[in-house]
Amino acid sequence: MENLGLDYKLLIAQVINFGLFFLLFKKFIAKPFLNLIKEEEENEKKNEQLKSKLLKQDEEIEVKRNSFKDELDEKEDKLITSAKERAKSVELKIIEEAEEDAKRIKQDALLEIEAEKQDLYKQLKNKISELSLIIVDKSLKEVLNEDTKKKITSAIIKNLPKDTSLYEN
Amino acid sequence: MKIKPRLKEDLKKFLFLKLGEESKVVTLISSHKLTNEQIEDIKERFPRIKNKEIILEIKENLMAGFILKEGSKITDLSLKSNLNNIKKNIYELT
Repeated sequence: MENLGLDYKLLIAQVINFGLFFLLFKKFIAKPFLNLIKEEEENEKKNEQLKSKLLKQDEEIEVKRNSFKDELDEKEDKLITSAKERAKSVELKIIEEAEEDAKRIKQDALLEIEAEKQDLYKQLKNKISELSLIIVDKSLKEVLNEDTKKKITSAIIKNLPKDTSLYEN
Repeated sequence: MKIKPRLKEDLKKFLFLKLGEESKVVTLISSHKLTNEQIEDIKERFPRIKNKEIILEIKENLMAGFILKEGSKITDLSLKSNLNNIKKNIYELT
C-alpha cells in the first residue's frame, strides 16, 4: 500500500477528522439549520394561510362593498324619485296657489272696477240732478218777477190742505 | 263734568224763558213782501199762529212761497225747497 502512495496513519487521521467533523456538523450546524428551514417552512405555510385568509376577506369585503354600493344606488334612486315627486307636488301646489291668487286679484279688481263704476254713476246722477236744478233755477230767476212770485205764493197758500200739521218738521 | 246746581237752575230758567218767548213769536220768511191778504190766508191755514206775533223776513233766494218758523218747528213751503225735492227725485229716478 505504501507503494501506492497511501499513508495509513494519515488516512486514519483523516477518517477520524471526518468523523469528528461529521458529528460536530450534525450536532451544531445541520440540526439548527434544519430547524431553521422547518421554521421557515412553517412560517411560509402560515403566511400562505394568512394570505389566503386575507384574499378571502378581501373578496368578502368586495362583495359587501358591491352589495352596499348597489343598496346605496337603490337608495339614491329612491331618494331622487321621491325628491322629484315632492318637487312635482310642490310645483303643482305653487301653480295652484298662484292660480288662486290670480283669481282672487282678478275678482278684487273686478269688484273695485264695479265699485268705481257705481261711484262714477252716482257722481253722474248727482251732477245731472244738480245741473237740472241749476237750469231750472236760472230759468225761473229769469222768468220770475214780483207779480209772478206773488201769484205762485198765493197759489201755494190756496192749495194748502186744511190739516197743515202734516207740514210740521 | 259736574254742573253746579245753581248754574243748572239758571240754565233751566233761561231755556224756559227762551222757549216761552219763542213760542209767542212766529217768523214768516218769504221771497217777496207778503200782502196782508196772503198773511191772513196763512194764518187761516195755520190756526195755531193766529194769536202770535209774526215777524216778516225776506229772502230772495227762496224764489217764491214761504217758510214758517215757530221756535224749533219749521214749515218749508218755498219754491226753492220744492226744487230741491225735484233734485232728489231726479237723483232717485236716474
